[in-house]
Amino acid sequence: MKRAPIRCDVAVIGAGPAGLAAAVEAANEGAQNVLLLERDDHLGGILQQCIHSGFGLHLFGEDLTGPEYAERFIDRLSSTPVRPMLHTMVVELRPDRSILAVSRRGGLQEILPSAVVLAMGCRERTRGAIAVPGSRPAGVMSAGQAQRFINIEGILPGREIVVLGSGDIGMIMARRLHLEGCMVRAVVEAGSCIGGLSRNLVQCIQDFGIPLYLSHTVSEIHGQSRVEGVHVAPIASDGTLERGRAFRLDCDTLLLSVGLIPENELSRQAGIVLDRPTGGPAVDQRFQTSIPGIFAAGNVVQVFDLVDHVSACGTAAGAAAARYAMGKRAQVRESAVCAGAGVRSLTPQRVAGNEGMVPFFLRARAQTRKAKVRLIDGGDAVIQEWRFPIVRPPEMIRVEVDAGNLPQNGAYSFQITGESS
Amino acid sequence: MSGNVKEHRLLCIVCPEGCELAVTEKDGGFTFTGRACRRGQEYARREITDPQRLLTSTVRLRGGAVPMLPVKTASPVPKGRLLEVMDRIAILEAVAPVKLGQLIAEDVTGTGIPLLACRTVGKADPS
Amino acid sequence: MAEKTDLLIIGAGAVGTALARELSRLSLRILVVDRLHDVGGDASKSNSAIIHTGFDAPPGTLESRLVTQANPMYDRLAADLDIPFRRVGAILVALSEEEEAELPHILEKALANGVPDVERLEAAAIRGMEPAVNPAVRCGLLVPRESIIDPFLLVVAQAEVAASNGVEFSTGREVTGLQRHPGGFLVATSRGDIEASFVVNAAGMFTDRLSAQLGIKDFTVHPRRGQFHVLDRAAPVGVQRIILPVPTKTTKGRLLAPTVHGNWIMGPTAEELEDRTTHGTTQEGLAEVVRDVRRLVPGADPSWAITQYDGLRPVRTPDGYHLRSFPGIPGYLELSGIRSTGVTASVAVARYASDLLQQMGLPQAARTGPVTRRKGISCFREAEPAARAALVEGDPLYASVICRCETVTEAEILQAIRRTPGARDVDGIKRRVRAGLGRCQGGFCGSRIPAILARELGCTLHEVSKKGPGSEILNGGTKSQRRAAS
Repeated sequence: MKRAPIRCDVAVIGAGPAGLAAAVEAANEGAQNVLLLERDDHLGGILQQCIHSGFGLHLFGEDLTGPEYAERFIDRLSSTPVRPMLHTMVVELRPDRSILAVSRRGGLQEILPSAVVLAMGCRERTRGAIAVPGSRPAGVMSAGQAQRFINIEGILPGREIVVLGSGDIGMIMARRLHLEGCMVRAVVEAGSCIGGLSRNLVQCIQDFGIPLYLSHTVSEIHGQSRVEGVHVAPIASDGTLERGRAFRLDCDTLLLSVGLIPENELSRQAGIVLDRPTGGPAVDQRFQTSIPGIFAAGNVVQVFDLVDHVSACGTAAGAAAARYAMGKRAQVRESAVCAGAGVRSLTPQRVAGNEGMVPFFLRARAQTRKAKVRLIDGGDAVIQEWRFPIVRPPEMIRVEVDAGNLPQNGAYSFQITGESS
Repeated sequence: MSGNVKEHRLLCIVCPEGCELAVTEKDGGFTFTGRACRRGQEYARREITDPQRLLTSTVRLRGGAVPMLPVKTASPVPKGRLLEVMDRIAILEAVAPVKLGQLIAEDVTGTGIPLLACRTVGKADPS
Repeated sequence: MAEKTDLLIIGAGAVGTALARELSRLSLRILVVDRLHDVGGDASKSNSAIIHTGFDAPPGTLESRLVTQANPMYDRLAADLDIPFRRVGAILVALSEEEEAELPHILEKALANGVPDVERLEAAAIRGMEPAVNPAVRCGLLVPRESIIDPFLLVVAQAEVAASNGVEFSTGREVTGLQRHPGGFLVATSRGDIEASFVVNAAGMFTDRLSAQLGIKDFTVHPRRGQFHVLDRAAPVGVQRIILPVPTKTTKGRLLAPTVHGNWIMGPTAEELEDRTTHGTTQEGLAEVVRDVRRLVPGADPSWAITQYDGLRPVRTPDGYHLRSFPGIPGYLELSGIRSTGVTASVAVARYASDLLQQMGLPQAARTGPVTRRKGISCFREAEPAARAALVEGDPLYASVICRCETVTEAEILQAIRRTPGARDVDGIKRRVRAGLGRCQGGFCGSRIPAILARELGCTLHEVSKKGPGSEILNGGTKSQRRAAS
């Protein structure tokens, strides 16, 4: 018995903050059938396990926890006709935008959307990806997995914890596990400064006297069945590991917070062009990818630091997807924008047309004081410049450009100069 | 009366500059050496005299669609008492259904700060 | 009160399970024990996953004979067992004059080993067949029938066939004593004694200790470790065949090979060790793998690695395959020295051992209607659309995807647990249906699989382990327990 395909205006893949915002806005923009496909058993995505505060300072002017922020959008969603489909995994996305989704209740379901918004978020870099040597015992997991176990299931991953990586997730989990009575032996960071926000350094690490080892990494994992300890070694200024100065920390759990990677299985499958620096689809300011009618928003495009910006992108993408679905497709010429000197990554990578203000999101390559962020054209002429007392890789830079200042078909780039520290 | 002189160094988190503030505390007064803008000085004073933190955690949820309910203190708690408040939270249990903002405990600090639900959770699906 | 069995096989690796399957056509009580929590053995599941032709085995040895005998058996065997197997072929790459000078000797050896289809290739031909190989290649050898397999599935599939024919598998059971006894042998284990008329020692790393219990002390075994990188399927490696260096005396060298699941492996190293059970990779070893492989295939990029592993080869001194019975110890068969080509030769070793056991008086009455074939767990990911619809129709849990990276469904995971011998831990599921083996290494499925295991095995989440007792995934207790304790 073959199920009939579902036709819809907009299909949004992922009901985290980006997908929720996109679905809400697509409905508000007038799209008739909006499907919201979510593989988990709840709406809100990763926010439901981010029980700490710090969300919504920009968008709502309030300091909300992840679940509270998610609920603002879940409430908005419930007043739209959008149909969320939970427990539903998209297993195929094709270049013609058609989708194959599977769910225990619904079986195999073909979906034929007029427009798609990709909002799959990101996954965490693994131990294998950074090749940490040693044994392969139980007790090695990503900080996000541990966060899910403790905040969603109510189970602690272990009792004596070492955290590798001082990204925000790592620092927040260090605090969380300490508060829950675990012994957090150390946070170990390969860089010379922390990988996350200063607020977390103070409120997660310093507040509790958790030892922080900068310019160090885990050089070996011990324990055949379960983690028994790790060796931690300093990293010399030339980047080599000083194994002779390694010391051992006993622990039964190693959490890894060593980077987030946009989750683009489906994008690759559909043949969408990905941008190497971001790891996500190359998009224009309306978040359309290289396939017309397929849009992408949130962490699947680029790893953001503030969920408020993720929601803003989701909103823009949802509106654009709805307009596309309703036949409003302007053929405009595009300019390319790329990451120049001092810029690790940026979105969007294209500007379509020359109307409206375009927000750009950049990440600096290195900590830079008295930073000058410049938008330059193909002839190195400076179109616009912004100054910041300091820019740091963990903190995204947001600048706005008037698209009218970018004659179409041009090639532009952003650069960051200043005093590196 | 020779006052107690205490030296403090703290990382200011008010703006992205992240200045390291050097503060000398004497007889209840503060003097700053080096960089310290007005907002930074306010932050330092608060952090030294009465540092407070919002506390977030989870409590077990009986009969709910999910097993754990995220909760937060309605207002910041003195930093030094965080673990003690965690102990008080550990023995609590909530019962579904729960609405966001609902009172889970009237006073979870002993000083009148309530504990609130951060998520609306319905009853478990019987199927 | 000891358990009684006709034949006890110690070791459920490649050799033990191949023999179990081979003998399961007989109407005998057969018990297979293994100290590890699952079948699959130790070295048998952490190797280069290659089915060798035997072209480079020591000529004139039992090993050489058994490997060349075994290789052609795999086409039929893989079909009968419904396991992936591909004759991808291998190219030996010579980059220096010395290496080039070795090639005629290797060709000679191949012929002496009964592998006549090895042929010399000049640089242009190699570049045409494998453009990703180092352009400085001088010449090489093509070994067309070198193949790849999933060694764990090879073992588990044979174990399932054996189990269908009544063979009992008892894992997590270490043999602690072996002595002669009226009627055969008394075997002490960590889970009770066994009385067996016949005992087969297929214990790999511990064959020497077992034989020593019976007074046979003419050999020892020590581990030689091999480390590997596993690369993401999407890695731009661009090779179709196994790419090998010219071998040295101790090791076949660091190779790059595709896997039957679409990944690539790089390795192995060769480090002499003492500790027989301690596994672990090292920075130096992994760096050596990368260096050596990049010499052959410059584009092999470790930044595409998704995981690393190491295997401990059980190296016998004196070396070589020793498949022997002892006139003074009737009923005891030792299968030692099987390594390097052990997975490949296992099915031929099984036949050889079966013949030996017949000569030793093992009753040959046949079982009626023995199972010889086995259907693998149907895989959603690889099924065509029509087949997928049929799978979902038959079992709605084929539409419940648990592992995102490998698109593994709940139906497959449940089958992995419910078969005999089934998965009883997270690694067992990983090896049977690939859940958790992909690029996110359990990031999404990591919380779901323990819940499924707990439900199926009737235990708590805290009791679910990675690979047996002592390796529980979550050992912090519930959060209220923790706060109360601290």
